[in-house]
Amino acid sequence: MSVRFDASADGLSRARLAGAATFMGWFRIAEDRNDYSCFFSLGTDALIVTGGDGTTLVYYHGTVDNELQALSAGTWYHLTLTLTADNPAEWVAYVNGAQAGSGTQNPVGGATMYVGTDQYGEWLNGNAAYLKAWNAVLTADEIRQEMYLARPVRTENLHLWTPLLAHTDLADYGGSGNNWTASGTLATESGPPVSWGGGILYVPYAATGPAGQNAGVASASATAVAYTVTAAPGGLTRTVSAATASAAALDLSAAPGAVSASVDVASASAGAFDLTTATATNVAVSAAAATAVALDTGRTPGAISATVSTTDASAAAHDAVAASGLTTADVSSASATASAFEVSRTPGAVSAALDAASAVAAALDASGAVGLTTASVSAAVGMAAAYSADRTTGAVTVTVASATALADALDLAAVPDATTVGVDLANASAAAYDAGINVSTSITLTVAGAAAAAYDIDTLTGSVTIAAGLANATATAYRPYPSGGALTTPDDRIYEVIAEDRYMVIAAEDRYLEIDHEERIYIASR
Amino acid sequence: MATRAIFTPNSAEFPASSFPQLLLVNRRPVLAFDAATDESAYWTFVAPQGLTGTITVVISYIMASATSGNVYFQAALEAVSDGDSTDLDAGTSFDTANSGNATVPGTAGYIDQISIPMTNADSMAAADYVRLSVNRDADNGSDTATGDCYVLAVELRDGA
Repeated sequence: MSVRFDASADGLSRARLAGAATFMGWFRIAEDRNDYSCFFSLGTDALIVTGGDGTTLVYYHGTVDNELQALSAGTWYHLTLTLTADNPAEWVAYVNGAQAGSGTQNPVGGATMYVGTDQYGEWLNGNAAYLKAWNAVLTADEIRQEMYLARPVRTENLHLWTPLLAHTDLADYGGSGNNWTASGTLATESGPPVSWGGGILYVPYAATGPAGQNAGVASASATAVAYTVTAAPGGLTRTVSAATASAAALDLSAAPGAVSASVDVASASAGAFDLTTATATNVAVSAAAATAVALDTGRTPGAISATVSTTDASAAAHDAVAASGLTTADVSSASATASAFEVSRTPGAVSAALDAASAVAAALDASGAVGLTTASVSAAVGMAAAYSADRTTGAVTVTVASATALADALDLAAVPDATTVGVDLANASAAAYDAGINVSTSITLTVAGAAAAAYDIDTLTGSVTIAAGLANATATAYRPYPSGGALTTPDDRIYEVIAEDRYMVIAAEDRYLEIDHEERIYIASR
Repeated sequence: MATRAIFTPNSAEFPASSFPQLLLVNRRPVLAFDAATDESAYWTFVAPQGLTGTITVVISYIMASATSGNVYFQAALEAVSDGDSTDLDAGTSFDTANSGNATVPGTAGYIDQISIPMTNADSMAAADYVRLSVNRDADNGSDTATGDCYVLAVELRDGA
């Protein structure tokens, strides 16, 4: 905008800027008065004014008019005057940033400077805008720089800055309070095509997208405290790679897509993993001292794989409840201890394998409707305390192979199937055998110095064969039939040879019948 | 959409003629676009990195006095890439102007916005030297709002 002067009484004035000075502004001749028309004056002898023709630019320094250049009515011009001092003074005038004239002048006097008029009433029928003044002589380059901006570029020695955005706004925007005073009746009109000189504001780029977000943290000491990722479609990747990274809490709620949480740390510890995903989830912890405290995988479809491989791994509790698929709890360790394994599955195989030199199977409760349950304890000093196999179908095998194994109690209640109890010991002693079986039972004793104390065999069916091949065996009751040959008793009675011609038939433990060679019968007590 | 640059009246540049006046309205810098004559203002910038999708120019304005009718604006881009054969010291090469309009608010001084999708964006790409030209299409027969339209700010958005 600009201020319009259109009458002899119109103009702006204020105290003169004395000493070294630069004064500039944008000016336009609205109507050619064909008379002297002052754009601005810095004193009684420092006038930027037209000649008597109303359009030729002149500098009046107190003695003569110095013609500078022709102007056109209706065109905006940037006019500047510099003075080195009040006295002596050198002057330079510029038009649109280009030097138009210079010289030496009379001492500058007076108490007032004017815009749109002068001390002599040579008023301008035109406009003024973007006035700026300094208590210094600006260079030609500085003047050209100031020309293209409404605001001042140089603030050093700034005396005043009056944009003249409105005829009522005559304030000094430079903050020095060097305001103008208006005279006459002024108006506001359009101003020159000059930019204020502000800057463009750029917004930092921040993109948000509905899918495919990657957050990567690569730091030697990165710590992931909490991640909450909610993605509808697409893959989601969380990667923390750090020597000491610890994933405190990972809450992954993703409907479709794969979720991969990978922590590769020498000493990584996974505190809690709560994975609720519809599709496959892999949680891999590889560390020499990794401890899986609690792995709670609750998923419907898909495979669940929890693998802990460490020489000191201990699986405290594995609660794998899967409706389908295979659940494998595999602990391979030289000193692995399986405290409790509870496997509840409907289909599928369950395998609990312990291979240890000193493995002790404290309690194996295998309740499976189908499938094979194998409890195999192979140890040089393995002790099987109690084995209770209660199955509807299937085979149960209890094998104790040890040089000093003792089978204290064998309670075999197997309805069908062959049950084999094999005791092959050099020094085996069978304290009590209560075999209630309906199938054939074979007990074989082959001992070099064994003594068979007492055998009470109750069999309902089947055959019983007692064979004792002993070099020093003592037969408490053997009476070979006088016919010699093999000891056979067609009627299963036991005979005792008392003498060559007399025989004893043991009828009971304390009585016997004796038959002599002439078949006389005697009854006596032992 | 994401805001990528903001242009204010204080940063506007003007052609030699037919340009809006820089005013202070209630101490707010505005560009006063005339109701009868097409007037243009320019902003010069370097296209930022990461531009994507359709470019949209959003003009925030208030009316000096009108409470009815429509205002029509045009926005055009001149984007010059490294190596382009455009003589910048001899002329201009703006792409075809894109148009937008709005029915002015029922109360003078109430803010409204006009969104202009820059279908013709002169193939603007990141790092291009760009000038944005905004003008009120005052001689459009459908621009019926009377009086000056005070533009408060112009925003450049991309499709991110």
